[in-house]
Amino acid sequence: MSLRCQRALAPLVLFLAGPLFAAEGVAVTVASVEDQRVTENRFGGLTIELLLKGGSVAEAKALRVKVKSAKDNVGSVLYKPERDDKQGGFEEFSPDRRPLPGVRLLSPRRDASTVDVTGEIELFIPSLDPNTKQRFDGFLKRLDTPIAGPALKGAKVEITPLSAKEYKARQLKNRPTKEQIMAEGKKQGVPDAEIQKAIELMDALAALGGEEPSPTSILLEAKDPDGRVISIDVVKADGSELRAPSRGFSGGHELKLMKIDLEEKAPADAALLVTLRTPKSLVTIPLNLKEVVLP
Amino acid sequence: MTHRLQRIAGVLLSVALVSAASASAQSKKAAKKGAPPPPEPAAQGAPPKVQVSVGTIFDRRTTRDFPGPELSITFKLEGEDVAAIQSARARVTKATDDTGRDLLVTSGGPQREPASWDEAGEAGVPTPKVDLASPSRKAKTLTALEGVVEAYLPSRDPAGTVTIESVLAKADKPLTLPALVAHGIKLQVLSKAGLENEKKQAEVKKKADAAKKKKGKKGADGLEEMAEAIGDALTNMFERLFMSAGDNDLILKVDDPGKKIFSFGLVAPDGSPIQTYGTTNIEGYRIVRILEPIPKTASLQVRLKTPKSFGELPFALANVKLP
Repeated sequence: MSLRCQRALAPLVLFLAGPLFAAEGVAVTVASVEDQRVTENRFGGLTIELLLKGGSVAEAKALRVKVKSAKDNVGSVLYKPERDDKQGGFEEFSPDRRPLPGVRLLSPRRDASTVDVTGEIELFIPSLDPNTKQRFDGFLKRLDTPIAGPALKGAKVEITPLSAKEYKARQLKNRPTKEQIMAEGKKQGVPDAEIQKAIELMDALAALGGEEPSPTSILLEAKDPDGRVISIDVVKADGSELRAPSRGFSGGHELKLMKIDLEEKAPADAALLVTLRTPKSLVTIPLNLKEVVLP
Repeated sequence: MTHRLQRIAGVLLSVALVSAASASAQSKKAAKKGAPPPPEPAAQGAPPKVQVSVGTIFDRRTTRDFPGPELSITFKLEGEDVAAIQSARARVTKATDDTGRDLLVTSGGPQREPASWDEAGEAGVPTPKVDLASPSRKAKTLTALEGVVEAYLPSRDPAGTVTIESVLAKADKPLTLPALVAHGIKLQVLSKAGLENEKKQAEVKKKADAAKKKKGKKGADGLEEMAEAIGDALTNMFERLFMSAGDNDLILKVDDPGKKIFSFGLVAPDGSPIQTYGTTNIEGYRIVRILEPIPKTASLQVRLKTPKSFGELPFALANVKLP
């Protein structure tokens, strides 16, 4: 290979080597196994907590565990993609964070003694790609208008900082009606009495006014159909953190209303810091658990 | 979190604390090795016409230490007298799985703590629960599940319920009812101002005790420290009361040396119950938790432990399928 050719390939090699190198040396072991068995079949299930050590684990800020297959030693299938695929979002991660990441499966048969699980773990390592952090200055001066940027557009993400009035209006508009809750409950086979209780609970929570914004609240609407947003933070103009002791949201990836309650009122020139998952920031580690002994 | 949300969280926490306190108190009684815990009080009423069956079984199989592995069984009560049961608790005397494992035996000792009393909630019937040791994974059934459900049926003994009408109007004055005095019970409803007064009195007493000890002999440092510690504990207790009591809660000062009081309840003038959310016990004080303001016309019911108001429901179940 000529020197010129080597130079031309160098960035590509670096690009490929980053995630590969980061994935090396990561050890995945079982931290705990819990099989909750309940006579009412709607509850219970098997949870395997995972311990991740070595490699670039210390730099990971979020992860997603994707199960491909899971079965017990008597042949029961413990993972049903059509049921479980909806749940697979990224969750915050740090090596000392509890609870540990894990996989949630169906309960194995009582006479089973071990389970096998295969899949992969995606680690989000922002240090691998500077484009994961997108900063939007002066967003408070443009309330009720979506913030724009090529990175957001490329990720199909739309974020709109909201005024309190608009937040409340959208909150009211997005709240599911009793009829919708009834229909969804029936679709999932939930008994009428339990659906009724859910409606009462929703009414009670609404009456408590727990979602009411305060002067220190940052209100947002986020559309993120592919679940690319890892976190949204508010920083001062100099980049220093504005602590947010509590956060609340309603809705899902398609449409989410968020309320970030800051410790202090955000200055008018505060910036929004959006952390996005990008292909370069992901490291995939294989998950291959063999003969995990059931308690 | 809003004030009301905090209140609800506080209520839930205090309910948990009451359960824990109750279990703890009962565990002391069960300290004798091998002996099953005695029922408190002895159930002497006629057996209620109620059948006991297994409702839900929850088998937590885990490699974790906390919460550890456990088999929880919730019992279902059905029958003619079930509506009269206000509280119930279950005591299992035999539990064996089909591999022969004794589920009364735990790694911590031969006997588990007795279960706490379960109140009839919105469903109207208590669902007492027991926690047993984890069965073998190979087990399919419980070959034997035997024991007794103790039921509290206050309607069986009207004399066992003492009603104090318009209780809010009687705040901060000792309630001298012959039915309570007969049992050696002293009871007082405290307003927030009354509680504040109690706190001040405790502080004055603390200062006086400290001053008295200082005047005492040299070398009595240990006693002085002890007095200070007691005083601090008393002040802390009032701090906890103030922190714990919500605006709508009913605060009671209770002196019940014979432990004759089973529970407290609030009723409207027509006798219908006013929903409460558990009771918190702090030293000689009890806080009856209520989310809404107590109506001025509400009456307080003091439910006493009388032999007639208890009934026992023995059960002997076999081949109980494990989940």
